[in-house]
Formats: sequence, structure tokens, C-alpha cells
Amino acid sequence: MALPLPPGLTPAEVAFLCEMEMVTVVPRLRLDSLNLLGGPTHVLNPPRRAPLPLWLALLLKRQQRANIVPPPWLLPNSLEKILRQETEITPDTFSPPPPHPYPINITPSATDHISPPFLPSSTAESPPDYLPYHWLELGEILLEACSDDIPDPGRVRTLLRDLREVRMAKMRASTKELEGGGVNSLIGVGAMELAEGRQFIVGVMDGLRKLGASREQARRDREEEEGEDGGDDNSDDEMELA
Amino acid sequence: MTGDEDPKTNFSLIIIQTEVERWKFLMRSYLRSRIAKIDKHALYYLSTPSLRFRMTAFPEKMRDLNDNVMGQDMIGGPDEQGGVFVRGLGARDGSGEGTVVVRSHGRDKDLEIGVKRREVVVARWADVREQVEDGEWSLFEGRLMRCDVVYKNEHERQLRRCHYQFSKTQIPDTSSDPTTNLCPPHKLTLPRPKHIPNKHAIMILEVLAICGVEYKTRWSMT
Repeated sequence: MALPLPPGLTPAEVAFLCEMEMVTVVPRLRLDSLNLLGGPTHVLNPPRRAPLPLWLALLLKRQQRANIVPPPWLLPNSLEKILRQETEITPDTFSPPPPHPYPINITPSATDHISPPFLPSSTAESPPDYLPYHWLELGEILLEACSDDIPDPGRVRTLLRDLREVRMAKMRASTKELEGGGVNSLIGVGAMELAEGRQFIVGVMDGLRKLGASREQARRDREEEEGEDGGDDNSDDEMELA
Repeated sequence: MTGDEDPKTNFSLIIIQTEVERWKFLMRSYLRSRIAKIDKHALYYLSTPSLRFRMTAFPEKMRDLNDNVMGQDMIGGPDEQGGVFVRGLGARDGSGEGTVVVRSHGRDKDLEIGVKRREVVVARWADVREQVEDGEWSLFEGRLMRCDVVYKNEHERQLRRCHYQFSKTQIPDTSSDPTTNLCPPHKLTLPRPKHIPNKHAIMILEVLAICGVEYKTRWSMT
């Protein structure tokens, strides 16, 4: 028997995925490229900056062999802007995620369908003023592991907490949208927020669906009668009454 | 390599070992979630031919356990209409569009909604299932193990692409996707890194085998 965990990822798994994000480090030692299972690492040649996965950067940092360059969005100015966006400009939705670094072209490419943590959203070159998918975990991890590399860590910590509270409220409020059913957009949401909200949101959604099942079926039957040629084919979606 | 006294080499070894530990973590959570699913709906997986191949190594005689003499199916499956979180990845029909259209079914109305790339939505599994299987959307956590890895072969001195390609484009895993989340047997090509000690290599292969991952490999286990 496997441990009966709820669906979705555990916080440890979310943190694990977050550690696959690339960050920029300033190494203090020379290290040749290593062929890891996840691909070769960048050659470290101080003081030249290099992108490394977060887990490796943390390992180097703990041993005082590198400094981590905080991503631009983690600086107090940027966080303040995002907080303003969250509270004043769009008080009902999450602030937008960073733009996709690889635009889709006509010719298909390998980068068309990648998503975090395989998108570089927290390196030194990443755009400021957008919270990436793993913002909360990354912020917490960096504050804990390398607060000496982050300018004004106290302020950053306060801002992260503010953001978290504002966004948690939005996450809870989003369940109101679930009542009519259908698809509910949560664009801009973060990984940890999803992990903690999943159970509740999916529970609400499934519960409401079951309560409204007969009403939905009745509406569908009525629509079918009203417009046979309405192009509304629901034949493949027999509602399963639970 | 372990016998090497050069501190720099030793440090490399620490990094490599850390990475192997990360792989073990990944494999364990993947395995755990699969077992949990099989535990929960064992009969359903065993009795649905299209899902049966997603499980490997179940004995033949255990595979038909349904008893529907009275026309009533005895096997309860997972909830097809259950809510899932999905992320839009962009259309796959070559149109270069970033938006995927979904027909959603709701209590009060049915809608067609365009979902942008990177947009996260909550939807019923039945509404988005086809697109998830086409790779136009990813189930959220479906990304746990997917990576396109460029691996440098030391001897041939050339870059090779190695895909940890689980199902078509992604690895379904621990997500809330009720059915297909027990993903098909995977194809995996993994060049053997020189420095991985034998016991670790064997461990990785064993875990992959238990997980139902088909692997093509030239690793030698001598």
C-alpha cells in the first residue's frame, strides 16, 4: 500500500521542483563541466556569472563556494510594484506571469511547449515585475539560504508575506466563480498556492457539480429539444450521475 | 573515482551523489503516486483494456475480474468529471497559435473558452482530457519528470539529445487526473554517464523497471 496522500503534490515535492529552476551564481572556485543525469553543468570560472540549477547553487553556497545573484523580481522595488498591481490595479485577479521566453513560431520547435521549472524565470536576466510560477518557494529558499546576497532581506521578507496574504485571499475568493461550473481561470497562480488550495478547490468544484447534476442534465435535455440543429453536440458527454 | 584524493574531484563526487539522491526522490514520489492509484482503482485499471497496458507486469489471470451478470458493472472507476488543474501549453496543430480552445460544460451554460499559453485553469477532467493527451495542455504536476536533456557524450564528443519522454510530451504522475494519470509505459533512452557508480545505475534501472518504464540503454552492468 502506498501512503494515502491527497491528490496533487506534497510541499516537499513542490520544493523539489522549485530546486530545478535555474539561478545565476557568481562562483568562487573553478569547476569544470560535470555530466550529470540532467545534462552537463555550466563551467564555473570565477568571477564570471553562470546559470546553475538551484539545488546545485545551494550546495555551492552552503560551502561558501559561490554567491547567488537574486532574480530581478525578488528585489524590493520589483516586489513593491507587484504588490501594487495585486492590490490596486487588478484587485480581483493574480498579477500576470512572466511572458513566455520562447515565442511560438510557425515551425514547431522543442521550446514551444516547455513550462516551469524548465523555463528560465529566475536567472539574473529574467524580467522584473512578474512573479514566476515558483515564486513563493524560491523566495523562501533564497531568503533562508543566502539572505546575505539579497539587498534588504527584511523588506523582501515582509513584501513576500504581504503578497502571499493578498493572493491567498484571491485563491479563496476564486471558489465563488466555481458555482456555475465550466472552466475557471487562475492565470498567474503559483505552485505552492496550487498545492495548498487544490484539495479545497477541487472539493468545492466536485461537490457543486454533484449537487447541480440534475439541473445541468435538465438544461441539456431542454437545449437539445429546442435546437436540434444548433450544432450543440453533447452526445459524447453523458453526465455520469454520481 | 572514490579513491581519488584530489579535493576538487571529491567535490564533484559530492555533486554527483546529490544528483543521484534527487533522482531517487523523484522516482520514489512517482512510484508512490502510481501505487496509490493502482491501490485505489485496481479493478478499474485491470478491467479496462485501454488502461491495462499502462500497468506492467500483472499476471494474466488477474486481469479479468469484472462480474456484470446483471448488467450492472461491479467496478467503480475514478470520477471522470472530477476537477483538475491544467496549464495551457499552446496548440499542437502547427498553426503556431498560443491559445487552445476548450468546450467546457457547466451547470448553467456550456462555453467555449480560449486558454492562453501559461494560463492555469480549473476544469472538469472530461472537458480537457483529449487536449491533455494531445499535449496541448499539461496537467499541472504532469511535469514532474519531464525534461528534454542534452547530454554530452564524453567519448563521441558530440551532443546527443536524450528524451525522458514519458507518454507523448509529458509525464503524468501524481496529479489529480483520475484515469490516465496512470501513464502508459514509457520510452526512455538514457546514455550511461561514465561516473555513475554501478550500484546507482542498477538502482535507477530497477526503479524504472518497477515504474513500468521501458528503457533502451546501452549501459553495461558489469
